[in-house]
Amino acid sequence: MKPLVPETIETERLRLRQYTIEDTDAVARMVGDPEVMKFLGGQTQTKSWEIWRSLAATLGHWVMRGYGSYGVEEKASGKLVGRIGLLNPVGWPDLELAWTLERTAWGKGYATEAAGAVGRAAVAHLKPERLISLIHPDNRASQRVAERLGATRERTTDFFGADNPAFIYRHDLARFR
Amino acid sequence: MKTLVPATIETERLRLRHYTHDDLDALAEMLADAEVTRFVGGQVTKRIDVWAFIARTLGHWVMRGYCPYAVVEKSTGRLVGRIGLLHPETWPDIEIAWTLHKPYWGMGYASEAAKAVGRVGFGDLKARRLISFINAENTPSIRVAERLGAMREGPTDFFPGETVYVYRHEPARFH
Repeated sequence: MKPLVPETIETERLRLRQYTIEDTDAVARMVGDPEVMKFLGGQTQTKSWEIWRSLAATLGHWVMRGYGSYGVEEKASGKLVGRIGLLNPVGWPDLELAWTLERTAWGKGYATEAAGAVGRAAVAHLKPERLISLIHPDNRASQRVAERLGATRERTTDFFGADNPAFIYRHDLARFR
Repeated sequence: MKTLVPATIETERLRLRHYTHDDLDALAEMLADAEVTRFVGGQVTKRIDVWAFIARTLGHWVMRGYCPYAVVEKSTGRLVGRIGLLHPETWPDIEIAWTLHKPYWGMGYASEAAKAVGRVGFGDLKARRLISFINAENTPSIRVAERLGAMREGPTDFFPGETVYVYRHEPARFH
Protein backbone atom coordinates (compact mmCIF):
# COMPACT_ATOMS: atom_id res chain seq x y z
CA MET A 1 0.00 0.00 0.00
CA LYS A 2 1.22 3.48 -0.84
CA PRO A 3 1.84 5.77 2.13
CA LEU A 4 -1.22 7.84 3.03
CA VAL A 5 0.77 10.21 5.24
CA PRO A 6 4.18 11.78 4.60
CA GLU A 7 7.05 9.33 4.98
CA THR A 8 9.21 11.98 6.60
CA ILE A 9 8.20 14.90 8.81
CA GLU A 10 10.45 17.73 10.01
CA THR A 11 9.90 19.67 13.19
CA GLU A 12 12.06 22.35 14.72
CA ARG A 13 14.50 19.97 16.37
CA LEU A 14 13.54 16.55 15.02
CA ARG A 15 13.37 14.58 11.83
CA LEU A 16 10.81 11.78 11.65
CA ARG A 17 11.66 9.24 8.99
CA GLN A 18 11.30 5.59 8.04
CA TYR A 19 13.26 2.97 9.90
CA THR A 20 15.92 1.00 8.10
CA ILE A 21 17.87 -2.11 9.00
CA GLU A 22 20.78 0.18 9.99
CA ASP A 23 18.74 1.37 12.98
CA THR A 24 19.03 -1.99 14.72
CA ASP A 25 21.58 -0.84 17.30
CA ALA A 26 19.75 2.36 18.17
CA VAL A 27 16.46 0.48 18.55
CA ALA A 28 18.21 -2.12 20.69
CA ARG A 29 19.46 0.61 23.00
CA MET A 30 15.92 1.89 23.51
CA VAL A 31 13.95 -1.34 23.85
CA GLY A 32 16.68 -2.93 25.97
CA ASP A 33 16.32 -0.26 28.66
CA PRO A 34 14.07 -1.42 31.53
CA GLU A 35 13.19 2.20 32.39
CA VAL A 36 11.94 2.82 28.85
CA MET A 37 9.99 -0.44 28.74
CA LYS A 38 8.55 -0.17 32.25
CA PHE A 39 5.17 1.05 31.02
CA LEU A 40 5.27 -0.74 27.65
CA GLY A 41 4.52 -4.22 28.91
CA GLY A 42 7.60 -4.31 31.11
CA GLN A 43 9.57 -6.71 28.94
CA THR A 44 12.87 -5.47 27.54
CA GLN A 45 13.93 -6.76 24.15
CA THR A 46 17.58 -7.62 24.09
CA LYS A 47 18.04 -10.41 21.57
CA SER A 48 18.87 -9.39 18.04
CA TRP A 49 16.07 -11.49 16.58
CA GLU A 50 13.60 -9.67 18.85
CA ILE A 51 14.85 -6.31 17.57
CA TRP A 52 14.60 -7.59 14.02
CA ARG A 53 11.01 -8.76 14.59
CA SER A 54 10.08 -5.44 16.11
CA LEU A 55 11.59 -3.47 13.22
CA ALA A 56 9.97 -5.78 10.67
CA ALA A 57 6.57 -5.39 12.33
CA THR A 58 6.97 -1.61 12.38
CA LEU A 59 7.83 -1.44 8.67
CA GLY A 60 5.15 -3.95 7.75
CA HIS A 61 2.57 -1.81 9.54
CA TRP A 62 3.32 0.91 6.99
CA VAL A 63 2.83 -1.50 4.09
CA MET A 64 -0.50 -2.75 5.46
CA ARG A 65 -1.99 0.53 6.65
CA GLY A 66 -0.19 3.22 4.68
CA TYR A 67 0.99 4.79 7.93
CA GLY A 68 2.88 3.70 11.01
CA SER A 69 5.74 4.60 13.31
CA TYR A 70 8.63 6.87 12.47
CA GLY A 71 12.17 6.72 13.69
CA VAL A 72 12.78 10.03 15.46
CA GLU A 73 16.14 11.63 14.79
CA GLU A 74 17.59 14.52 16.72
CA LYS A 75 18.53 16.96 13.95
CA ALA A 76 21.48 18.45 15.83
CA SER A 77 23.20 15.11 16.44
CA GLY A 78 21.70 12.91 13.73
CA LYS A 79 21.04 10.38 16.49
CA LEU A 80 17.95 8.18 16.52
CA VAL A 81 16.29 8.89 19.86
CA GLY A 82 12.85 7.37 19.61
CA ARG A 83 9.86 5.95 17.87
CA ILE A 84 6.72 7.99 17.36
CA GLY A 85 3.82 7.37 15.09
CA LEU A 86 0.41 5.96 14.33
CA LEU A 87 -0.54 2.47 15.46
CA ASN A 88 -3.50 0.51 14.23
CA PRO A 89 -2.96 -3.26 14.17
CA VAL A 90 -6.11 -5.31 13.66
CA GLY A 91 -8.37 -5.15 16.72
CA TRP A 92 -6.65 -2.07 18.17
CA PRO A 93 -9.14 0.01 20.18
CA ASP A 94 -8.71 3.00 17.84
CA LEU A 95 -6.07 4.73 15.78
CA GLU A 96 -3.34 5.45 18.31
CA LEU A 97 -0.80 8.23 18.48
CA ALA A 98 2.10 6.55 20.28
CA TRP A 99 5.48 7.77 21.46
CA THR A 100 8.56 6.20 23.00
CA LEU A 101 11.87 7.95 23.55
CA GLU A 102 15.14 6.61 24.79
CA ARG A 103 16.08 7.86 28.21
CA THR A 104 18.69 10.40 27.13
CA ALA A 105 15.98 12.18 25.13
CA TRP A 106 13.49 12.53 27.98
CA GLY A 107 12.49 15.87 29.46
CA LYS A 108 13.23 17.98 26.39
CA GLY A 109 9.74 18.28 25.00
CA TYR A 110 10.64 15.97 22.09
CA ALA A 111 7.62 13.70 22.51
CA THR A 112 5.23 16.64 22.47
CA GLU A 113 7.02 18.19 19.48
CA ALA A 114 7.03 14.99 17.40
CA ALA A 115 3.61 13.68 18.46
CA GLY A 116 2.07 17.05 17.67
CA ALA A 117 3.48 16.88 14.15
CA VAL A 118 2.28 13.30 13.68
CA GLY A 119 -1.14 14.22 15.04
CA ARG A 120 -1.41 17.03 12.49
CA ALA A 121 -0.36 14.67 9.68
CA ALA A 122 -2.95 12.12 10.82
CA VAL A 123 -5.77 14.63 10.94
CA ALA A 124 -4.83 16.18 7.59
CA HIS A 125 -4.32 12.96 5.62
CA LEU A 126 -6.34 10.24 7.35
CA LYS A 127 -9.26 12.31 8.64
CA PRO A 128 -9.85 9.93 11.57
CA GLU A 129 -13.00 10.13 13.66
CA ARG A 130 -11.01 9.37 16.76
CA LEU A 131 -7.35 9.50 17.69
CA ILE A 132 -6.29 8.08 21.04
CA SER A 133 -3.23 7.30 23.10
CA LEU A 134 -3.04 4.32 25.44
CA ILE A 135 -1.01 5.16 28.52
CA HIS A 136 -0.22 3.16 31.63
CA PRO A 137 -1.88 4.63 34.75
CA ASP A 138 1.53 5.09 36.42
CA ASN A 139 3.20 6.67 33.41
CA ARG A 140 2.93 10.27 34.52
CA ALA A 141 5.50 11.56 32.04
CA SER A 142 3.49 10.29 29.09
CA GLN A 143 0.24 11.48 30.59
CA ARG A 144 1.73 14.96 30.78
CA VAL A 145 2.61 14.77 27.08
CA ALA A 146 -0.97 13.77 26.28
CA GLU A 147 -2.31 16.62 28.40
CA ARG A 148 0.06 19.08 26.76
CA LEU A 149 -1.28 17.92 23.38
CA GLY A 150 -4.79 18.69 24.60
CA ALA A 151 -5.98 15.10 25.05
CA THR A 152 -8.53 14.18 27.69
CA ARG A 153 -8.67 11.00 29.71
CA GLU A 154 -11.72 8.89 28.87
CA ARG A 155 -11.50 5.62 30.74
CA THR A 156 -9.32 2.61 31.62
CA THR A 157 -9.01 -0.36 29.27
CA ASP A 158 -7.71 -3.87 29.87
CA PHE A 159 -6.88 -4.26 26.17
CA PHE A 160 -3.30 -5.23 27.05
CA GLY A 161 -4.48 -7.67 29.74
CA ALA A 162 -6.01 -7.40 33.19
CA ASP A 163 -2.55 -6.98 34.76
CA ASN A 164 -1.53 -4.26 32.33
CA PRO A 165 -4.20 -1.55 32.37
CA ALA A 166 -4.06 1.58 30.24
CA PHE A 167 -5.81 4.91 30.29
CA ILE A 168 -7.43 5.89 27.02
CA TYR A 169 -6.60 9.48 26.21
CA ARG A 170 -8.71 10.97 23.45
CA HIS A 171 -7.05 13.64 21.37
CA ASP A 172 -8.86 16.83 20.48
CA LEU A 173 -8.71 16.73 16.69
CA ALA A 174 -9.28 20.48 16.49
CA ARG A 175 -5.89 20.93 18.17
CA PHE A 176 -4.23 19.22 15.22
CA ARG A 177 -5.94 21.19 12.48
CA MET B 1 10.81 0.41 -1.66
CA LYS B 2 13.67 -1.73 -2.87
CA THR B 3 12.66 -4.98 -4.47
CA LEU B 4 15.39 -7.39 -5.50
CA VAL B 5 13.09 -10.16 -6.68
CA PRO B 6 9.81 -10.20 -8.64
CA ALA B 7 6.78 -9.09 -6.61
CA THR B 8 4.80 -11.99 -8.09
CA ILE B 9 5.80 -15.36 -9.52
CA GLU B 10 3.57 -17.66 -11.58
CA THR B 11 4.01 -21.39 -11.76
CA GLU B 12 1.82 -23.92 -13.54
CA ARG B 13 -0.74 -24.16 -10.75
CA LEU B 14 0.25 -21.42 -8.31
CA ARG B 15 0.61 -17.69 -8.01
CA LEU B 16 3.12 -16.34 -5.49
CA ARG B 17 2.44 -12.78 -4.40
CA HIS B 18 2.85 -10.49 -1.41
CA TYR B 19 0.51 -10.75 1.55
CA THR B 20 -2.12 -8.12 2.10
CA HIS B 21 -4.47 -7.29 4.93
CA ASP B 22 -7.16 -9.34 3.13
CA ASP B 23 -5.24 -12.58 3.75
CA LEU B 24 -5.90 -12.33 7.47
CA ASP B 25 -8.73 -14.90 7.65
CA ALA B 26 -7.11 -17.51 5.44
CA LEU B 27 -3.74 -17.16 7.16
CA ALA B 28 -5.38 -17.27 10.61
CA GLU B 29 -6.96 -20.59 9.71
CA MET B 30 -3.61 -22.00 8.58
CA LEU B 31 -1.61 -20.72 11.55
CA ALA B 32 -4.19 -22.01 14.02
CA ASP B 33 -3.50 -25.57 12.87
CA ALA B 34 -1.17 -27.39 15.27
CA GLU B 35 0.06 -29.84 12.62
CA VAL B 36 0.76 -27.17 10.01
CA THR B 37 2.75 -25.04 12.45
CA ARG B 38 4.45 -27.86 14.37
CA PHE B 39 7.89 -27.20 12.90
CA VAL B 40 7.58 -23.48 12.22
CA GLY B 41 7.16 -21.87 15.59
CA GLY B 42 3.86 -23.30 16.74
CA GLN B 43 0.23 -22.23 16.58
CA VAL B 44 -0.77 -18.59 16.30
CA THR B 45 -4.30 -18.17 17.57
CA LYS B 46 -4.86 -14.49 18.28
CA ARG B 47 -5.98 -12.38 15.34
CA ILE B 48 -3.65 -9.55 16.24
CA ASP B 49 -0.71 -11.99 16.21
CA VAL B 50 -1.67 -13.18 12.73
CA TRP B 51 -1.78 -9.53 11.67
CA ALA B 52 1.68 -9.03 13.16
CA PHE B 53 2.89 -12.14 11.33
CA ILE B 54 1.85 -10.54 8.01
CA ALA B 55 3.35 -7.22 9.07
CA ARG B 56 6.68 -8.86 9.93
CA THR B 57 6.71 -10.68 6.60
CA LEU B 58 6.15 -7.40 4.74
CA GLY B 59 8.73 -5.66 6.92
CA HIS B 60 11.19 -8.39 5.90
CA TRP B 61 10.56 -7.33 2.30
CA VAL B 62 11.19 -3.67 3.18
CA MET B 63 14.46 -4.46 4.91
CA ARG B 64 15.78 -7.18 2.62
CA GLY B 65 14.12 -6.52 -0.72
CA TYR B 66 12.45 -9.95 -0.61
CA CYS B 67 10.29 -12.00 1.72
CA PRO B 68 8.19 -15.15 1.80
CA TYR B 69 5.26 -15.03 -0.61
CA ALA B 70 1.63 -15.82 -0.07
CA VAL B 71 0.93 -18.85 -2.29
CA VAL B 72 -2.40 -18.86 -4.09
CA GLU B 73 -3.93 -21.80 -5.93
CA LYS B 74 -4.70 -20.40 -9.37
CA SER B 75 -7.74 -22.57 -10.03
CA THR B 76 -9.55 -21.55 -6.84
CA GLY B 77 -7.89 -18.27 -5.80
CA ARG B 78 -7.40 -19.78 -2.34
CA LEU B 79 -4.42 -19.05 -0.13
CA VAL B 80 -2.67 -22.39 0.29
CA GLY B 81 0.56 -21.47 2.04
CA ARG B 82 3.65 -19.40 2.52
CA ILE B 83 6.80 -20.03 0.53
CA GLY B 84 9.81 -17.89 -0.08
CA LEU B 85 13.19 -16.54 0.84
CA LEU B 86 13.68 -15.94 4.52
CA HIS B 87 16.61 -14.13 6.05
CA PRO B 88 15.91 -12.53 9.42
CA GLU B 89 18.77 -11.02 11.37
CA THR B 90 20.87 -13.81 12.97
CA TRP B 91 19.81 -16.34 10.29
CA PRO B 92 23.10 -17.86 9.10
CA ASP B 93 22.05 -18.07 5.44
CA ILE B 94 19.17 -17.25 3.15
CA GLU B 95 16.56 -19.94 3.53
CA ILE B 96 14.04 -21.30 1.07
CA ALA B 97 11.16 -21.88 3.47
CA TRP B 98 7.83 -23.50 2.78
CA THR B 99 4.67 -24.04 4.78
CA LEU B 100 1.46 -25.33 3.24
CA HIS B 101 -1.96 -25.52 4.78
CA LYS B 102 -3.05 -29.10 5.43
CA PRO B 103 -5.75 -29.44 2.75
CA TYR B 104 -3.03 -28.82 0.18
CA TRP B 105 -0.44 -31.32 1.35
CA GLY B 106 0.62 -34.10 -0.99
CA MET B 107 -0.10 -32.24 -4.22
CA GLY B 108 3.46 -31.27 -5.09
CA TYR B 109 2.71 -27.61 -4.41
CA ALA B 110 5.69 -27.10 -2.08
CA SER B 111 8.14 -28.46 -4.66
CA GLU B 112 6.53 -26.47 -7.45
CA ALA B 113 6.63 -23.17 -5.58
CA ALA B 114 10.02 -23.74 -3.92
CA LYS B 115 11.54 -24.54 -7.31
CA ALA B 116 10.35 -21.19 -8.64
CA VAL B 117 11.58 -19.41 -5.52
CA GLY B 118 15.00 -21.07 -5.77
CA ARG B 119 15.29 -19.88 -9.35
CA VAL B 120 14.62 -16.32 -8.19
CA GLY B 121 17.04 -16.71 -5.27
CA PHE B 122 19.96 -17.97 -7.33
CA GLY B 123 18.95 -15.82 -10.34
CA ASP B 124 17.55 -12.38 -9.49
CA LEU B 125 19.05 -12.26 -6.01
CA LYS B 126 22.33 -13.92 -7.07
CA ALA B 127 22.51 -15.78 -3.76
CA ARG B 128 25.64 -17.89 -3.47
CA ARG B 129 24.07 -20.20 -0.96
CA LEU B 130 20.46 -21.11 -0.27
CA ILE B 131 19.51 -23.54 2.44
CA SER B 132 16.46 -24.97 4.12
CA PHE B 133 16.23 -25.75 7.80
CA ILE B 134 14.20 -28.91 8.35
CA ASN B 135 13.39 -30.68 11.57
CA ALA B 136 14.55 -34.29 11.56
CA GLU B 137 10.98 -35.45 12.20
CA ASN B 138 9.50 -33.45 9.35
CA THR B 139 9.51 -36.23 6.78
CA PRO B 140 7.26 -34.55 4.18
CA SER B 141 9.53 -31.50 4.09
CA ILE B 142 12.65 -33.63 3.88
CA ARG B 143 11.12 -35.28 0.82
CA VAL B 144 10.49 -31.88 -0.75
CA ALA B 145 14.13 -30.91 -0.15
CA GLU B 146 15.31 -34.17 -1.69
CA ARG B 147 13.04 -33.70 -4.68
CA LEU B 148 14.62 -30.27 -5.17
CA GLY B 149 18.04 -31.93 -5.16
CA ALA B 150 19.21 -30.42 -1.88
CA MET B 151 22.15 -31.95 -0.02
CA ARG B 152 21.90 -32.64 3.70
CA GLU B 153 24.71 -30.95 5.61
CA GLY B 154 23.96 -32.37 9.01
CA PRO B 155 22.30 -31.01 12.09
CA THR B 156 22.66 -27.37 13.14
CA ASP B 157 22.73 -26.06 16.70
CA PHE B 158 20.94 -22.91 15.55
CA PHE B 159 17.65 -24.15 17.06
CA PRO B 160 18.54 -25.31 20.58
CA GLY B 161 16.68 -28.37 21.78
CA GLU B 162 15.65 -29.49 18.28
CA THR B 163 17.35 -31.71 15.76
CA VAL B 164 17.30 -29.60 12.62
CA TYR B 165 19.12 -30.47 9.42
CA VAL B 166 20.57 -27.94 7.03
CA TYR B 167 19.71 -28.77 3.42
CA ARG B 168 21.90 -26.96 0.94
CA HIS B 169 20.30 -26.29 -2.42
CA GLU B 170 22.19 -26.92 -5.63
CA PRO B 171 22.21 -23.91 -7.97
CA ALA B 172 22.46 -26.22 -11.00
CA ARG B 173 19.07 -27.74 -10.14
CA PHE B 174 17.33 -24.38 -10.48
CA HIS B 175 18.36 -23.35 -13.98
